[in-house]
Amino acid sequence: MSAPGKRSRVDYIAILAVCFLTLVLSWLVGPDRYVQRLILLVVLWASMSSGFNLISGYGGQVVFGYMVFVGTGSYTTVLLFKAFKLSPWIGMWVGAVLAILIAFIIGLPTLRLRGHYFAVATIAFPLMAFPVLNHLGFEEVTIPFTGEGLSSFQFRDLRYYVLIAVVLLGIVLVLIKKIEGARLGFALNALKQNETAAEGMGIDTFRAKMIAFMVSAAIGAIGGVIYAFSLLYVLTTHAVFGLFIIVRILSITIVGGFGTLWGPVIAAAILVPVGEFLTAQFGARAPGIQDVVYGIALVLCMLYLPDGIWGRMLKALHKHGPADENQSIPAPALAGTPGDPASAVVAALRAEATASLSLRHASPEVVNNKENDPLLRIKNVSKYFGGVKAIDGLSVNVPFGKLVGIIGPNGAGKTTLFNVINGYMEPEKGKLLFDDVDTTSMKPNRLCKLGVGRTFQVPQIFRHMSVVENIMVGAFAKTRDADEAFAIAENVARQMGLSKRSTHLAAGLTMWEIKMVEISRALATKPQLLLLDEPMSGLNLEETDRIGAIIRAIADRGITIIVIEHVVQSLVKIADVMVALDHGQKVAEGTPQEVIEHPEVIEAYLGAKWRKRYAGR
Amino acid sequence: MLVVEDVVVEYGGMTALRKVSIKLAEGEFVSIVGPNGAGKSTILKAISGTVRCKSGHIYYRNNEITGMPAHKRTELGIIHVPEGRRIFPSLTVMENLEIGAYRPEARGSAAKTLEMVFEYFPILKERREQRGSNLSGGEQQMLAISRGLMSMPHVLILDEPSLGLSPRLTEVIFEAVRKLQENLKFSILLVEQRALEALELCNRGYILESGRITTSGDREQLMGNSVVQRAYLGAI
Amino acid sequence: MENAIQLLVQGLLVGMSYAVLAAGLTLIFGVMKIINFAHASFAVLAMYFPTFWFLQWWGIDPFLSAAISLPLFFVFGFLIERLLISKILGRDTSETSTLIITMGLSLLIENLILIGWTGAPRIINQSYTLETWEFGEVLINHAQVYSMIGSVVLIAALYLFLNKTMFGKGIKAASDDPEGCAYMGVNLRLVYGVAFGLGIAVTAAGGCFMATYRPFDPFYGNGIVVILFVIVVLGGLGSITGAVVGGLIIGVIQQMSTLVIAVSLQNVAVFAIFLLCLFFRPQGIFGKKERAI
Repeated sequence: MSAPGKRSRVDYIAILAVCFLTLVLSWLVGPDRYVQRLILLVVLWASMSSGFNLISGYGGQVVFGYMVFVGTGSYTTVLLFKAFKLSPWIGMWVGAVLAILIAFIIGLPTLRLRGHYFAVATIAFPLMAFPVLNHLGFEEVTIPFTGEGLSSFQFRDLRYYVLIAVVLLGIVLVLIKKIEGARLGFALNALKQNETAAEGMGIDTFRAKMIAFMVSAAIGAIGGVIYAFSLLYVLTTHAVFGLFIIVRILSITIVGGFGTLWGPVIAAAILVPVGEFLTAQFGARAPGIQDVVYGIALVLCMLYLPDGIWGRMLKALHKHGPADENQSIPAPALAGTPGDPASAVVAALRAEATASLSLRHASPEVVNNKENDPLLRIKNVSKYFGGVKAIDGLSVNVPFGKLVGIIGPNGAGKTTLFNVINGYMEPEKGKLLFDDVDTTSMKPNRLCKLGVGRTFQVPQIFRHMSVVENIMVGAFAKTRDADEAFAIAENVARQMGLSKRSTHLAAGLTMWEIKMVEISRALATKPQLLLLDEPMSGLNLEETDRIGAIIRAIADRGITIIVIEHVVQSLVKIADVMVALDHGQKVAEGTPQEVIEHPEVIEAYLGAKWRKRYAGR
Repeated sequence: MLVVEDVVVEYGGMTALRKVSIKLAEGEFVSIVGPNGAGKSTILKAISGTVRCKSGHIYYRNNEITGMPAHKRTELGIIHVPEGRRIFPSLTVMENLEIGAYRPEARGSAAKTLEMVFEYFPILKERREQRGSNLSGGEQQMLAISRGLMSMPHVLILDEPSLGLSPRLTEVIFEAVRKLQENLKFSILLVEQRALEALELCNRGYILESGRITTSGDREQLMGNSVVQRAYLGAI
Repeated sequence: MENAIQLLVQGLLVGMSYAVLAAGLTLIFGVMKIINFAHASFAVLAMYFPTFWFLQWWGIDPFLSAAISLPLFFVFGFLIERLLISKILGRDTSETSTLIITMGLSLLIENLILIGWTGAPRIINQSYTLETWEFGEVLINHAQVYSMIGSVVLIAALYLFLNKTMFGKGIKAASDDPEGCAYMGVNLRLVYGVAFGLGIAVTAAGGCFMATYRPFDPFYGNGIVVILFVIVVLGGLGSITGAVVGGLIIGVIQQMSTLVIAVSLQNVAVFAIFLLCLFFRPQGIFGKKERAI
């Protein structure tokens, strides 16, 4: 995965080259059926595995029942051909559409299920197809051979099938390549790694999964059609719905590399010939030797090469940033002094603030209306967990353009409040009004699109994406175009001081950098309201002050910010307003000074007796 | 008895503890207080072996235990009652308590310890056949502490026992802890957000802020000290 | 009417056999949160070795082989857990990763059996294989009844172990909260190895029982592994009681559905129940409200 740029073109050229060379090879070999069959099998398995790879590898939803699509495509086309003499050229599209429909029907209830539930649920469908089709008398369907003909999709010379299969492979690879660099690809990569964070960045995860699922289904179906017509005389349920199909496809995709473009192709080119060779040589004495090899490949790969051959190579090639503290934070300069790297960030943010401020003043009605109304109204909200009242009748108005700090002892309900504002949880009672829109029941991805950005208590970055890709995920909340998203991401990265690290994988970053990435990603969603959950946790005292300055600078840009924090000392320096919670209720609200000296707040942290004895009031 | 020396703990890319040193003598009650996110739970986990130390040493009765796995430390009598009332929800109260006596040294006297536990927390005796998930928050906390007691600790580590409990229940729990320590004389290391109760009970205390010990002293020195208030709420 | 009773009885007997296998599967899931795709393959392996071959070579009765299978497959399962599964458990994709690696394992087991002992269906022919008791028009096969008794004994033993021994309670605790166990001094690695070993051992013995009344081939496992999943989900993942109840229900549905639909479609009824269960009550009958979603 990479930002749009030079690398894409290399892949397209490679796709073209591979297809061309395969065709040349096929043509040169001549009509030798054995070799042609081998080439055809490699190309077909590569295509179907690539289709499988889209939903299972890229999307992370492993579809163990994938053969239902292969079977649907082939059976539909063959039956239509037999019964109505419908040309398979048309029949295959009918099969594809049917497969897409089936994917939709299967996906609707199952895509919401977790990992192994989903995997096991999808297996049920092809296993149901077996008895149903067998019962209807379709266990074995002879494919009528009406003689040579383009219209009947029947060629004596396998080379024609190879041509068609190569075209399919080429189209599939180009399609996947395009998806990789587009919004859908980023959405899939994000939700595969962290569905919660993906939702928070505006991704409709269900829709993304469903689209990938349906496209995968269509590819499987068409692959199945070619498979049936080219290699089978008799279409049997076992041949196209059997367990061995998912075994092959799974093995190829895993050995090659889940979620990589070339993985399935490379693995198919290795495993298929090896398997066929073994069956030819030893099949008589040791039937099933091919599956033994596939089994061993699966086990060994899962243990030692979980990224697959190509996946491993890609990882080695990708730049890993060493978590080198010295590189990102040169010297422990105090916040605000010239040597402090955060001051560059603050300056960049301030520059933009001035720019946007002048824009705002250009439209006075906006200024007048907004600056006095609360951006977010939390009205009498209650959230229960079983018998516990995490939030109890809470009402807060968050004024537009201000930095609000929320404090309170552990268990006071602060993160729950964020989850309710953000849409991850729905309150049992009360209402939330964001910019006068009732958002009480809205889901996180819609709220993000409306303008609510968020960071998390434990930073939820996408570890297997680069810094700039992480930020792009945020940018995609407000734009569909990959180039624009890249530009936005690069801009934000530059402002936040991450340019040097932009192509480094997020997994190798320091805590400071991770926090910067999370904030950048949230900023890229162009939020009106930014929710920061304990941004200072895990940082040392200097870093705490620095991040405080950065947060203040973001607020000065006109973005309303709510910060939850425990490091109250640092929060009081930057907040305009503070709210103190305890046991799910508001115990104080006002200026920072007022709140930290408020007797009930002291009591919440230190206990009633302390307050009575030592706090003076 | 227990010496933690210059321990550094890192996880998730951040430094949770920065060269922390504390001491606990036989029979002593030590409290560690400080705002959330300070690393209080982390230091307890470092002692019980649930997290690894990047550097530094931990000694127990003059033996180094820094690299010892958690279940071996339990065998030594270092018993950690984690935060959040972690009991086994689908096991009954009795079963939870029985598991508490898992370590070999405790199995022999399990019956006696059980009697004692029921004396301190009669409600547990009443509800002994109930599943853990059916208990109230306060009862679960009592169960968690009792389960720790069943292990016959030499050092009992309590992580925020008051978490999520009402003030009244918090008092009940702390009162019980105080009585236990008086009568049974094992060492207790208590971590709490609620400074007052924790400091009232202790012999000595530490204040932990952002992964560092900023203040330490005995009970008289810390009680009512504005340093404590500032640790939580800062000053303008 | 007799037909219905016959099918009901048949269903209960068959269901009990399924239950034993399902009990092993649910134990593994309950403790380690993984689905063992190779589960039925272990049962099939036990049908060949020791059951079939010990009978061939030394005339050892299958029920005795079942007893031999227990320690044999316990060790086998323990080793597999330690050498293969534990390496994958730590990863964050462990749910599907373990499904995949156990799928590979099942491929290996089945095809090695195929290569070593051919794909010809095998039958055990003991005195009780064909004998039946008659109750009116209802015929009850001896082998199936003995199997049922064996299954009940096995499950009871498993239940006792889990609930009455300290180690068994440690296993239950690990299902609830693996991290919390560490605080009690429970050695999690040992617990996982034992739990997996136990699950496989029970399954293997169950396979020996099944061999006494039905033919088997290397790929018999493929036919029933999904049925086992259905039972385990229906009963509630992690609940042995659920595995028994689920097994009986599915066995009965499988048999009695032939009253209304064709025999070849009986599994469709089973899958339909499965899907309904997943969508409306994913935690099954006895399961905890674990998030399937």
